[in-house]
Amino acid sequence: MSTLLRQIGIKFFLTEESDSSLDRFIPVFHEWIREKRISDTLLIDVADYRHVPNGPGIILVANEAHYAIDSTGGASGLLYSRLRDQARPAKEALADAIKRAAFAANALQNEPRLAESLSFRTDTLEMHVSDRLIAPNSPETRASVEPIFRSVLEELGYQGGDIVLAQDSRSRFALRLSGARESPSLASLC
Amino acid sequence: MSDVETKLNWKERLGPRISAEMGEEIDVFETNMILRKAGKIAPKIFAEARLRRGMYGQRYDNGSRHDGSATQRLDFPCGDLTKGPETVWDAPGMCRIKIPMGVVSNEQLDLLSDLAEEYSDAILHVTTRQDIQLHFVHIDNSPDLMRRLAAVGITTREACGNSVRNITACQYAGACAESAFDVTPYARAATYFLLGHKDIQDFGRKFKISFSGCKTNPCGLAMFHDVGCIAVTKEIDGVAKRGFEFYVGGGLGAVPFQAQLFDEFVPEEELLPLCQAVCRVFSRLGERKNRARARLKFVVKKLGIDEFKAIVLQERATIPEDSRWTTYLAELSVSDDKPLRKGEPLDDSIALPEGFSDWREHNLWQQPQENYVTATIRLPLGDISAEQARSLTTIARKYTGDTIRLTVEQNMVVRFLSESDLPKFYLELAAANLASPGASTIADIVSCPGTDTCKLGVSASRGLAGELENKFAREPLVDPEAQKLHIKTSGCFNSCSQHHVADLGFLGVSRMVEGRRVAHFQLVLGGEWGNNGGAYGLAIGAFPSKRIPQVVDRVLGYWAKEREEGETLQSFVKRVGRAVIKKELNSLRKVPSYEENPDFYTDWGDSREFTVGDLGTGECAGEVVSIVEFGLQDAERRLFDAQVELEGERSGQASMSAYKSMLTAAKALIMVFNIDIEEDADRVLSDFRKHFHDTGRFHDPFAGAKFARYLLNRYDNPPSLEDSAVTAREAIDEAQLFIEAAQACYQRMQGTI
Repeated sequence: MSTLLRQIGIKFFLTEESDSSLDRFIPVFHEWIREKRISDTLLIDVADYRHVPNGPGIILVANEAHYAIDSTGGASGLLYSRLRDQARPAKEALADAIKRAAFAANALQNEPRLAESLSFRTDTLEMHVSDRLIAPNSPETRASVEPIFRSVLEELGYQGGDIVLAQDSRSRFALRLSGARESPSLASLC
Repeated sequence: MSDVETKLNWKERLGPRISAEMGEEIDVFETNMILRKAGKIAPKIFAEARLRRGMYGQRYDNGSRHDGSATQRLDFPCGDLTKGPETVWDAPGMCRIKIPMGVVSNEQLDLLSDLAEEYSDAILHVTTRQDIQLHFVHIDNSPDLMRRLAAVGITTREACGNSVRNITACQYAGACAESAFDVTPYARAATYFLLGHKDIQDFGRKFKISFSGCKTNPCGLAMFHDVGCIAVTKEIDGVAKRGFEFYVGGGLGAVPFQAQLFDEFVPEEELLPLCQAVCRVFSRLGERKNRARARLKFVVKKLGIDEFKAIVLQERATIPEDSRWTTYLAELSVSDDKPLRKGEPLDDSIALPEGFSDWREHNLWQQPQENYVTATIRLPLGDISAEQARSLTTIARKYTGDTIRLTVEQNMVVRFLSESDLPKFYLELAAANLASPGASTIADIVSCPGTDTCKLGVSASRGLAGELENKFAREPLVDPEAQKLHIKTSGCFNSCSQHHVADLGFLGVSRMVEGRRVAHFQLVLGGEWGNNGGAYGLAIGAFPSKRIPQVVDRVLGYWAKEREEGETLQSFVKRVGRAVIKKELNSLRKVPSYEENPDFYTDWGDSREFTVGDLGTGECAGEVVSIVEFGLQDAERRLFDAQVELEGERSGQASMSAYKSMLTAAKALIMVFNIDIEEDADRVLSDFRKHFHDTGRFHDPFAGAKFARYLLNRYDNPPSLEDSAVTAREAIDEAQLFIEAAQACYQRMQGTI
């Protein structure tokens, strides 16, 4: 039996040197909607949660997923959260989510208005599964998903690093890779 | 997580945790979704059914959005499929979740957090009517969402649409020295008595009820509800008896009305029957065609309170006795609040954490129970993240048990907190970023969703509220009188933030300046938040959105300078007058040219050039769908079930469902003459013969009584579980024709009644 997943989230974290002030992402995301910058995704709106500490920040709302400048847990980054998809083999679902998150992070890094003060770490990233029916936050889920996650990462060029459970037991299932010895560039992940 | 496990769904997983009644309601809604997708339910009827399940529309759901330069089409994958008139199926919507009296358990709040992450944007939004709203929800997720809520005892039923909305009550009920008694059990009884009640299924508009424990505090807000109940006691024959000051016909919106006193003392046993009688009168006399005048307040105004009262009391006398009116009175002493820890005083000699004093000043409410306090968790713009909500339940479990309530100021309270625990409690809140001081002060601004998500929003009420909150954080007010004021911001005239009862209320409007639209807010000054929302403010004039912080400064400065000793802003506005204040603010009305300052041509938190091009048709008013139309739709749904059963080779069951669908259609028609018609087949047939068959009213212009006879024959030869597939097929075909004849009959009647 293969492991199936859906509603995967991937977060690339901002480097410490990055300016994570949220105001400047609002015009960027509006422009992405206007210019349909993510070709196979219907971009809808920008949601502003600057007032919620350590929250989803600024969200670029799309039909299939949300792209947020998220600071849940206190660390800011680009969080891609798939909302509506069919369950599919975990490896395929994870690789696709990483690719889409990397595309958005890379595009932000290359935004002329942001480029000088924005960069993402590639040695650390986090994945989560929102769907608690298919992937409850349990040891069984971890036992099943972690090897696949590691295998996907290795195929993408990551080497080394620790994978740990990223949340408490009531939170959605999440794993974090940190301290990878080698990691691919965002551009190569897109 | 495996192939096998993924075949499971929430319905199977939760199974018996969902009550049979709630499970069936959700199944019915899910079937209606299937039928809508198949084009078998009209958009208008599905929209009202959806609203009555709490699934609301959201901005841009008509499939277009202005990007600051032009309106762009949003090409959702569903194509032309809609979930209501001009409402695209795939467009994200809002889910309003009723939290009666704002009482939410830790288990429920944990589940709500999960749902926010899975189906929404990881944010729980607390409304001014003690609901929780999730935004950006896809309707396809709604059945699972509802089932998971049902498993923890929450329903979205009648959260929107033309129905009795969430019943609100003081967050301090049962923990307040100023209240006559705890209104919680009464509000709960009213909630579950009226939920799904047949007498509330045919309203022309929504209907709001609130409960307050006292006359003075602004928790229950009885003065602007359709029905407002204020707890009072009265000595009768030497015994203190509980009852309610009963108000009717209040409401905000574009035309605010103060509620009128119906009765200064309604004994507790008369509370539910009187509410029921008011509902029945509203259902019968409420406006249907003009949606802007369809609330109860217009009925009361038109009739006058005396005549309205006479009609209601006449109605009351006709309602059959219902044991539920009083059964709950035997359980009044059972409280939700079971304090976890013994109340102990705070030792003031210990070193208190940094920030504690500021927080303590406005965020604590002294309870009458010795050494217990209620703490307010101030939520910016009513928002709390899923992670924060989980942290809050962890803290609540540790210190107070299941005692969280939502407030009409979009905050949460944690009750029965031992004073001795306050420093530790505060530190744990602070670690979760939930210890903002200044609850219920001028800095704690209430806002409706406005242009962020509402189809009716003109200006960015949340953007403005966020800006003002930041301003007060940067420049704290030192005037203690000013700190007591309340600011509320609405995105349009509909008053969802309750701006009429704020000291400084704002409602979104727009103005044309040199050929460009500019976001403005109308200032409403001097409303009264106290005394249950006792008085409405005066409209002063419209000011550019980007000047509102200056407007606030100017108003506060002028009041501070000119007020008399102890004069409230409300009294000051009355004394000085609108004209003088308007003149004082006049210089702030000017909008600089676009070239001079283009910032004025955008709204708060939105970089797009301001437009009103995204305004849509609101769903606040619901769709006017009669109870007969709903009944006929239900018949269609039952027939669909029959077809599914036949395909599943359950022919006997299919035959019975087909018969049931005919009875349902007949019952729907009978409701034109007898709203109280019962489910019983004998009664339905008797009334159907009397009103439809024997009068020829049901007869088809060409086929005569043929279709009516289908029902009469089935009644004489009822289906059984042993029926063959052939018999079931025949029953389904007949039922299909009968329901179509019923639809045609109703259409003919609409032209003649």
